[in-house]
Parts: sequence; structure tokens; C-alpha cells
Amino acid sequence: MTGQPAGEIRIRDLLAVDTLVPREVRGGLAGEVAPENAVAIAAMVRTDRSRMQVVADRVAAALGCTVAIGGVEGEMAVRGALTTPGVGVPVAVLDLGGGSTDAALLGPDGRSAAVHVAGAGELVTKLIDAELALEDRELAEIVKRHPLAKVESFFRLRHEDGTVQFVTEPLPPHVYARVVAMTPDGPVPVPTRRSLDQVRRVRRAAKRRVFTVNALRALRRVAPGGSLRLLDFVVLLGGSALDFEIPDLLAEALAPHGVVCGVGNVHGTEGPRNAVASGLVAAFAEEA
Amino acid sequence: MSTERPVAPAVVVRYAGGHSEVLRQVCAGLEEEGVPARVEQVTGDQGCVALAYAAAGASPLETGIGIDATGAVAVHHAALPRTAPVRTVRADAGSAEHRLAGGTAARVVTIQPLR
Repeated sequence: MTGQPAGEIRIRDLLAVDTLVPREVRGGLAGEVAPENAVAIAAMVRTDRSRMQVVADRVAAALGCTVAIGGVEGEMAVRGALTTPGVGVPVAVLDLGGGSTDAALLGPDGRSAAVHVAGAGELVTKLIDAELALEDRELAEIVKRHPLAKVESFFRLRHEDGTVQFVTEPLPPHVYARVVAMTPDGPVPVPTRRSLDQVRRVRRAAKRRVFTVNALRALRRVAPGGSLRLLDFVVLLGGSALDFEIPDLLAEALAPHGVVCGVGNVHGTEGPRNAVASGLVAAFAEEA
Repeated sequence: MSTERPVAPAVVVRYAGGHSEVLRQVCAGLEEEGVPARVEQVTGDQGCVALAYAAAGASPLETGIGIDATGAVAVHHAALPRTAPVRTVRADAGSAEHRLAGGTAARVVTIQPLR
């Protein structure tokens, strides 16, 4: 993809997740499928500076300005996270992105540590796509992002928490009696024969197997002495911190270690996104 | 008016006549899903949607099918707006589609995803 020969690519981190994928039964006459064990793998590869320079040159050409490569992502994320109202040093941050989960720690002595581990939002989407046999990445993304509901009649739907909602306009026939994802644009049907509970379980399991596993292993690497008990609180950043249940799942996983976590709010207005960008701007402004 | 016996639950099919094959397929679609049907022969030149809406109103299951004089089919539910049927099938759509219309009505009753 980057034009590098395969021999030069070095894998730095690997996350393997057990999963089930539907496979067609060989010799079956009616196209039967059976779930089979599979392993989903996310890998992190080492990038070198020359690759970054290619990107920088392209950006410079497109925008017509000078582009400098600077900063370490983890440190910049910490800087961004510190602009969240109420956050002070020492602080640990978790950046839940699309491809990687990053953890960084800024100690009271001003020293910082950062690690990147493979596997994040994209892997969750892939797992949901594979386990529900949707074969539609966009739809898997919708299932990942929005709570589910079941349409029980033309005017009534039951949300995944059990509450019933009545609507005044009749629901369209293509969602009738189906499991739907409640997007802001209205219900989107999930083409599966599974029940709402089963779809919900698949979705939550995918998130748990990627994000909580990665959060724990990334935080252990940056924590002093590798002990999570020595961390006080963790600020969650990145697009996946906006998810409706990932922060809860992480809080649940971190609570036994005495760690409190909360979603960051960069500059008190930006939410958990743009922490690294804010950190870079702040660092540049300090230097200049 | 009070009836002595309760009316048996059934999807009401209002049929304007002249298209017995369409009627047969629609009833077959209902039977496939195991939902009882009651056929009522009607006269007049109402469209299939109007027939279906009236049939839905008369059905204890609140679901009705209308087959008009041209052979077009509509499936309706009593709770839906008069002009917004669940499904309409043209007269020349073929027997499989007509059977599917019967199946659609049955699936509305049994609260299963529509095909």
C-alpha cells in the first residue's frame, strides 16, 4: 500500500482475536452454512521517517505551506488531554482510534511514556461484519455505532434496554418485525435471523475483545512497574471514545484495578477528538 | 349488533371477481404461513387499496387483502393510513408475486419480517 517492498515491513505489535465465521458446508445442496472458528488479526507495522516525509511533502504541495514533522503522538495526546477541565498531572490517556489503541502516561516528574498497540475500531467493525455474516462494512459500522431495537408493530419498537417506544408515523414495511439499528436518520434493518439479544451480544463481545483487552495491555506497559493500581485515572480520547458503550465497557474493566476513567473534553469544547492535533499546536506555539 | 359467537380470527380477502387464479395464489400464500383467511366477494369498481383497507377494518386480525376487478392486489393493516398499504402487487406481476402478497399479509399477522 505504501509502495514499500514486503521484506522491509516490520511488524511491531499483533492482536489476535478468536471469532466465528459462517462457512458454506462443502457438499451441501441447499447452501447450508455452519459457524467455524477463525482468528482475526490486527498488526501494527513500523513506519520510517522517509514515509512520513512523503506524506508531509504531499500535504505541503496540496496546501502550499511548509510542513514539519514533529512530536510523539502519545506525548501530544497527553498535552491535548490536559486541556480537559479538571485534569492534572499525573495523567494516563487512552487514545481509542480506528486502527490502533494508544496509551500514554505523564508522570509528576514530567517524564512521559507512550505505547501503541494494534487493533481498534476497524477491527471491531470487521468482527461484527464477520460474525453476523453481513458482508457489508457500512452496515457493520452502523451496527457498531448505534443501539439496536426490534420493530414489534407498525407503530411500536422495543429498544435493546427493554423500553418500548411508540411512534406517530407508521414504520416502513421493510423494517417490520426486524432487528434495526437506531441511527439518527431512522431505523436501519439488520438482515439477520438472529434475535436482538444475539446481535447485541456479538456487538458487545467484539468491543470487549478488542478495546478492553487492548486498554489493559497498553496501560500495563506504560504504568509504573507495570501495575495498573498505580494509575489514578485515565482520560479516554479518540473517535471510539464517543461510542455509546465503549467508555462504559472500559470503566467496568478498569474498576477492579481501582482506576477511574472518563471521556476527555479537549479545551472543554472539542470532546475526545482532536487531542493530538491540539497537543501539536500547543507544542508548536510554545517553541515559537 | 352483538353476535352470539365470537368471529373466528382470519385475514379478510375482499375479491371483486374475475381473477380466480390471483385469488387462488393469494390464499395459497396465506395457507403457506398457516394463517386462516376469509374470502368475501364484493361488487363495485373500488381500487385494490380501498378494498384492502375496508377488509382490514372488517378483519379480527386487522389485516386485509383487496383484489380489484383488474386483478391488482393490495395488503393493508387497519392501523396504517388509508392510502399507505403494506404492499401492492400489479395484476400482471405473475403468480409468485401474488402468492407473496398472501404471505406478506400472513407475516404482518404473525409479526415476522416481510419478504
